[in-house]
Amino acid sequence: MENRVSGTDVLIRLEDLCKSFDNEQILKSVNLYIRDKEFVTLLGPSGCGKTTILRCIAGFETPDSGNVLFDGKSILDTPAHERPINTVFQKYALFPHLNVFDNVAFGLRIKKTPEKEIRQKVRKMLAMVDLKGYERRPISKLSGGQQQRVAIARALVNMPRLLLLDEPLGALDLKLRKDMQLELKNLHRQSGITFLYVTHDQEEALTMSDTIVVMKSGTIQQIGSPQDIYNEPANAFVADFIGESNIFDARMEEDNKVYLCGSVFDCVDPKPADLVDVVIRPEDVEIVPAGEGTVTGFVEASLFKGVHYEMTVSCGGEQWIIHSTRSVEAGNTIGMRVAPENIHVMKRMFPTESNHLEAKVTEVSEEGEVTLEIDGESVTLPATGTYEQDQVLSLQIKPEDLELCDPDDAQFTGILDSNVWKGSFYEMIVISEHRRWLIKSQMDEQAGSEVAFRFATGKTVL
Amino acid sequence: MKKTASYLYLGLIFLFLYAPILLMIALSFNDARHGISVWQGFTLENYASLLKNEELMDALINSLVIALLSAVGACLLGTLGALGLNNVKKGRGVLMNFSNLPIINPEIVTGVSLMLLFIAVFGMKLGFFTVLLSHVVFNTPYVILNVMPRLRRMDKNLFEAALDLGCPPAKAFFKVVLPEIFPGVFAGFLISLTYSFDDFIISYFTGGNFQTLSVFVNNSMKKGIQPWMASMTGVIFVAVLMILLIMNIHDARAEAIEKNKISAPTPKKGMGYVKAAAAVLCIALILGICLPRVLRSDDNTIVVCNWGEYMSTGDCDFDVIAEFEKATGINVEYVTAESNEALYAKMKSGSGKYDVIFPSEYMAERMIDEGMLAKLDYDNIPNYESIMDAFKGMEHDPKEEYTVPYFWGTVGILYNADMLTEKDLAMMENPKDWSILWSKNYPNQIMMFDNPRDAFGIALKQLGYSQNTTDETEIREAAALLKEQKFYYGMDQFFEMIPSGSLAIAPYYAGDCMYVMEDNPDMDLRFVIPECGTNIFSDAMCVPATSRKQAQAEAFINFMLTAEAGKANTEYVYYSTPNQAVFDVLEPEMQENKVAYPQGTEDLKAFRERMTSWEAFQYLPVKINDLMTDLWNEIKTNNK
Amino acid sequence: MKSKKPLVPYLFWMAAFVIIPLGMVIYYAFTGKDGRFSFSNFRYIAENSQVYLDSFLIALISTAICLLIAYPLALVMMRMSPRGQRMMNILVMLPMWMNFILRICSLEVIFRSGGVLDQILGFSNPVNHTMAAVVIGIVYNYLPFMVLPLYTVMSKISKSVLEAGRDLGCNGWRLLWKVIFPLSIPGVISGITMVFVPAASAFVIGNRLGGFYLIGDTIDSYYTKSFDLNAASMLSFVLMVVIVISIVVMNHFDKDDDIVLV
Repeated sequence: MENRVSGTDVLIRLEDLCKSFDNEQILKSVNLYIRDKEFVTLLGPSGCGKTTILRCIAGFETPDSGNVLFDGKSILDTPAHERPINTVFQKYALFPHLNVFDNVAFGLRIKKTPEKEIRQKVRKMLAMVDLKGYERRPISKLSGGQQQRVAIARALVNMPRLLLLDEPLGALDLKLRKDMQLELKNLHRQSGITFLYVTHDQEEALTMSDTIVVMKSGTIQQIGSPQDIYNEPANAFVADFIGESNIFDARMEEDNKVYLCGSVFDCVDPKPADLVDVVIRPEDVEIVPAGEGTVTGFVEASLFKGVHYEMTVSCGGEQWIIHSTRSVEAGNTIGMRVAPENIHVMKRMFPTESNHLEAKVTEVSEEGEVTLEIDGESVTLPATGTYEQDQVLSLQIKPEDLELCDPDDAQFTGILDSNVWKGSFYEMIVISEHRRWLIKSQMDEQAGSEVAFRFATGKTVL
Repeated sequence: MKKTASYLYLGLIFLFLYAPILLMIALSFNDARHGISVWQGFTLENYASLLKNEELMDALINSLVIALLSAVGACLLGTLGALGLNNVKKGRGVLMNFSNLPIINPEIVTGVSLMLLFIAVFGMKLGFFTVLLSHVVFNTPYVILNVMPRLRRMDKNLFEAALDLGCPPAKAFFKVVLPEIFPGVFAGFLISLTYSFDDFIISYFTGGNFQTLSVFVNNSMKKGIQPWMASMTGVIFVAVLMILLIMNIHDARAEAIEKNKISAPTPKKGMGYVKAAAAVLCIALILGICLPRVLRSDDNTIVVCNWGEYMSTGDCDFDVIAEFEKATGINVEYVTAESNEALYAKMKSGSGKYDVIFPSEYMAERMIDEGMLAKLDYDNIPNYESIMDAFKGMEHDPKEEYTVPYFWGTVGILYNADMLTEKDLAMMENPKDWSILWSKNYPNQIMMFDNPRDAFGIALKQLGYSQNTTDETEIREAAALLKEQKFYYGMDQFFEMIPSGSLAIAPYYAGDCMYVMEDNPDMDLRFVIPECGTNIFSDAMCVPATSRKQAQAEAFINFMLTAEAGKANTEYVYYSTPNQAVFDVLEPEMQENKVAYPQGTEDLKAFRERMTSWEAFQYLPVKINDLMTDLWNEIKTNNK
Repeated sequence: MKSKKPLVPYLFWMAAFVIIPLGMVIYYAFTGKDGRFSFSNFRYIAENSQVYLDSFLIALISTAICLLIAYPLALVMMRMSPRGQRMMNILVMLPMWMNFILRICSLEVIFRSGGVLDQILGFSNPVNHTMAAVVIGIVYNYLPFMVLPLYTVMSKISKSVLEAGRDLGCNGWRLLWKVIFPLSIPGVISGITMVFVPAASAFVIGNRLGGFYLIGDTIDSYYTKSFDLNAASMLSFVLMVVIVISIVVMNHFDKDDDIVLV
């Protein structure tokens, strides 16, 4: 994953970092380095392990294995309070019994800085975060945004080598968040301190970072500049997570040609596999008169979004989102064209088109039903052939033959690892105890949640 | 209308809560030596006497020290426990239930179980430390319950934020976490103080001869509710009221500051430290003054365990203990016990370690039999010479090895002639037996001893059996007889209820009867001993075998035998003296008093030999004693 | 702060001073006078079954009365100004500081024959040495323990919840029944716990005010009168089991695992 060139100015390096809580692996061998004075953002959905990385660096958690190098030296044995690192906490964690000044001065006092110097530094810092004159205020009398600034000032005043920020803007309203993003960026520039920023807000990440690290369930998906991440997402998950995109199942038979929505599109990618995902950003779809484009679509809706129009277009059973400054009214037929370099081809996250699994016949009933044992679960299905007791079947279950259901009716359960809208269905990857499952579903579900599913009723599965 | 109703309701409840206390305070100004419930004029004497009552002051200080130390201990332990429990995810519910056990467990179970622990497992001497430990045990859950919510409400990252800013963990705890949870700790501290100061049951079981205020008050009830108990109530009331008001003013101020009604005083640098230091200094000072008193047990101090109000000590003309200390330079720690059985239980369990005790003859006999008493060196007790022959070499100590008689007396019936019917009055001139006690003419006006030995003794005599019978059927018969009458079971109540005219008939100890008769000359009170016989008792001064200061103890016993001390005790207690030297210096009317000295001019020894139906208690075999307790519990639980 | 280390000394303490002592009670409960394991002490339970019933009955009645008196009081307190609430708190707490024995004394002075009440009435009051006197004594002693948890919980009910209730059409009584009461259940439960437990094991109160023994006095009697630790332990053990079971059952109605206190 690490495809940047690591220079000599690496401040912190994570090597094969692993961490589990209650038998659940939160970090799965994470490798990452951060250069001095860089603004790095860890981006990912909640539960992806980004906060755990932060806590391992800060020293609040000890990794199960792997190493944390600071300036080339391991700091695993350095307790939290001796690391030259400061943190801005999610809910600020300001000391309620101290006023603004004492909160900010806290770290300096611990270091036994002369009181006069403390006063100078704190004043300067408070001025920097626009809190001049608030020195004597109790914390409880500050607004959320002001508390946020105090938290930042409290960390920054110690001039740490590395500042860790754990979703610091999560609790603020939209307007305030935008302002603070800018201020943070300024502070980063002025202070020359390395920032490691954690967020689940892709826009925030794109706006502020030098480097973005996209994470999903304990693994790094992609590392790159905001432009790289946006323009060249490494997989459908990254594409889906960063910005709006059209993601489709596609096939490739040769380099630079991709089959999609019943047509062949030119692209600039070599063939990675037969089955691929294609990502097309909504603003990269060109609207042309019907018949002139690569494909033809029917405009279902058009919404004005301020800067552009957002159109929903159906094309060969798939739904396209198009952003354009020019509106085409709903009900019209249009042609669509995409420049080859704007078609992003990537390997599928699930390697095969269907689920391959083995099943043992445990019972054949008179009524034409067969009971199979799959992953230790007993499943009864309508028989479509003749089976013998203890016969081992090799099944190929199509993703659409599995459906989410109520936990009471479930045949299997697992954790929803990823969930991507692919134009006409959600492509879900579910991790159960024994395997990964691919499910196509019309229902939406939160990634990371526990889902229950079964063989779709009324479908001939075997 | 609604408001009036609710205020009326408030008024009624507070009347209910405060009427008894305020009444006690009102009665604390009552000029009454005994029997406080009848108004006898205004005085402040009861307050002055508090200070002179050294045992009471000791008990009060003990209570305060225990409350303070146990609250501090509970705060330390409870805070630790809360911190730990807060980090437990799995099984916290179970752990919390365990931690709450001392609260949901009945106090008596906690008391008994801790006593068993200290005695049987640790082999500790019950006293200051065991009471302290026990109080910490039942106070800790309250601290946890007050700290836990604070911890849960606290921002979870607060501690990490302090570490992050360079604080080492311990310092981070004190600088950040403690200030956050402090209100909870303080609330726990106050509750602990309250419960500890108020506790009776647990101190009673785990205290040995260490007495907190509650235990001391309980043991002092022997002669009724004392005037000093009323004035003590007054003192505590005023002190607590003051403390609560000061706290209230402080709270109100804090609230006003919070609302910005008044400006906060500019925080002076280091004020927090000054306050903390002042608090620590205060506690240290209090402990510094009190602890030595609490813990004092130098080689020159003997522990004397007597019955309540059974010695001329405290607030009286001739304080025998003070005089003894003055005369010999030996210090005395004076404690009291409830009953012979309680004394025995305490000594047997190892919870009470005494140097001088005052058991009755039957208990002395049992103790001698079980090797619990030391052989006395009578050379150290030259005054023993003046003991009357009648009390030398009695059945329980025939060889004169272990005991020195202290007081003796009989049990008779005291009755209020004005309350009896003509017929009964005539009968009581010279009663054959105790049957008047079973009369149905005086519902709720007949008292009976509230202890099994004396009560059974009377019933057995009434049935014509020996008081020392070991025949189970005879004892069961006696129990059945006791059940026949709904008695007013009491002991100390005697001293109040006879003068107030609420008891018509009461069997009681002759000395106490005489005291009440003399104290109420305007009442027609008469004392009589039935022909069929009674109990003649004597209490002895003994030294437990465990005493390491036998010589000093013997010096004490010798001092009690001096004419001055004996006279003071006799005039204070009113019981009959077995000491010729003392008898000789008594007032003539006392010497001639037939209640105290029924032998009249007859030689006492001859008189005792003649009155064969006047039995002294002997100790009963364990099996019989247990049966008696069983039956007694049955009688008492059914006496509704 | 994630560390469970502070738990270690605490758990040791709990083991040494709570668990082992209870183990001792059980040990003594199931050994005979000879120190051998035996069930013979069960006879004490049989002999005293009536006392248990009486004690629990008296405790139940007293607890119910406490609840009936304290609940309206807490309601009234809840509506007072902060200043008023503080004063009320002090007034409720103050009697708790009067020594337990002294409190009993003060009641005895009132109720006993020829006591203050008789002097006022001019005849002997019918309460003296009855079950009623014991119930009054228990209620008097433990009422604050009912009021304080109730008040603590009720004072935390936010004004907006009450306003919402009114907004949705609850009048006074329905507001009380549908909104305030359900919210006050944790307080009710801890109040009941705090009163019922000491009431059921009350000792001294029964004998001094009622002239008869309750189970607490009986346990004491076995200890002090015949130094029978086995009987005292067996009776304590049964008392504890019954009380702990009833508390656990009652706490089942409450989701929170805490006992609410002052």
